[in-house]
Amino acid sequence: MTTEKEKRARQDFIDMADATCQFQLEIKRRLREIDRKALNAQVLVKRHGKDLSGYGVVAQSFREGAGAMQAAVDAVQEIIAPFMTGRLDDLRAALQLETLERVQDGMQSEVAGRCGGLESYRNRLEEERDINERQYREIGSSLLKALERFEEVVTELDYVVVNGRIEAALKSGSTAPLAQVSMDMHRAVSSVREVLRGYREQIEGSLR
Amino acid sequence: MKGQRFYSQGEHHWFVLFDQGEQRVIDANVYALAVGDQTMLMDPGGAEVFNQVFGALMGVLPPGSVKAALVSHQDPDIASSLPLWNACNPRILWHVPKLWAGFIRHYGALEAYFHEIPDEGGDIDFAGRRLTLVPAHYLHSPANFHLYDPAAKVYFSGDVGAALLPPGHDAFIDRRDDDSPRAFDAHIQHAEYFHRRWMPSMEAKRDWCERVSKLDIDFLCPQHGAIYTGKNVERFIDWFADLPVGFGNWQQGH
Repeated sequence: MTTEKEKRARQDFIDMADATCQFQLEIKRRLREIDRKALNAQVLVKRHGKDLSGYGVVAQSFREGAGAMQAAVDAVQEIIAPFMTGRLDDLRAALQLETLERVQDGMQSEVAGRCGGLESYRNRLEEERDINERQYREIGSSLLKALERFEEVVTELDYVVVNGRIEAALKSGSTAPLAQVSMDMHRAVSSVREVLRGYREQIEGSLR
Repeated sequence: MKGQRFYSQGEHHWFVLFDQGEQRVIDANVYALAVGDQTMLMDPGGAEVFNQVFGALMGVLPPGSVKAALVSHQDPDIASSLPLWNACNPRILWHVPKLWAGFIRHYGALEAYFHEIPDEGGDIDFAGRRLTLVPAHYLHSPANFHLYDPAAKVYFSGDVGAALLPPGHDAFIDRRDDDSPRAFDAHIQHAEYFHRRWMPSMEAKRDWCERVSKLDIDFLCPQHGAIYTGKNVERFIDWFADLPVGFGNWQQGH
């Protein structure tokens, strides 16, 4: 019989899996968007020549920032797989334990007494779950660190974006598209920050 | 294991999860039909590859969106993960052949919510879409169902069309030159032994070919190997219609 606590844990796991899926899909989409906008900024600079020479550095930084974000995402992705695997292994162990409990409950006590192997198997499964839990927390901490690192990269890019907006404002006479591209970049970076925050909160919640 | 979308129209999508990393168990594809925020899995896989299937699904769809699943027959490579999925979501509706329901519960899913498919198959509704459960008995299992999605023209064909491909295989038979049978001919060599050996009945095979050739199919999706598209669908049905299978035929060429 699945306990209420176990049912809650399974629902939490699915919620986390859903959040992980959304995170992966959203980040992928938004990084592509940021990269495209960074490219747009570079094209603009090229097209307007020396009028926008000051902005060229900013446009280059956008692209580098987009590359750094991709590297940060890759680092997060690498940890997500073992993080989820740990939870799935635990689910498997929990199901085996439930089956074992059913078997033991259905046995007459004198028969159960002669099946010491079942009891030691049960203990082993419980130990396995304890180990899984410890590993899950360790990997979870690493995941949180990778997410923090990702947030730092986003902050750095945000700083570049702010500079870009200032630069665009100074050159407002030259080109409106520059202001637009800076504004788009700002929105794209902010949305990544939002997605990241939401996911980090979900992971923190699951480790509490 | 990878996840790839192969059909998309508005809210209606089909995905294939393929090329599993674990080589000690038979490689199997899992298909996912997503309509809006609901997902249905076709043959959700074996217990030993559950982590991989779950991970690949998570790369394309939220696992919590799985509301239904088809278990085409009783084999462990497609059905033994049932209790694990069910533990994740005990509200999943499982479409299982009526004949096998009591057997499939032996995998450890006494409480699972089953729709027992009668031998004649029939239509089901999933997220407002009509899907057809097509009888494919004795291909290979005595109670066996395929699934046809008429809107997407996707036909999930279970073990029919299966091929034993090496690791790293593509999701599709090469589609670059559909007019030429070259890619099909190369692929079908990997399917021949499987069909000769696993398909027990010439009569069942002929009946299936006759029925399925009347359907409008863009994607014929087997449980093992690669997806047939375009002219390769017809090529496959013709090839299968001519293939001797069952007792007395399976050793030919081997």
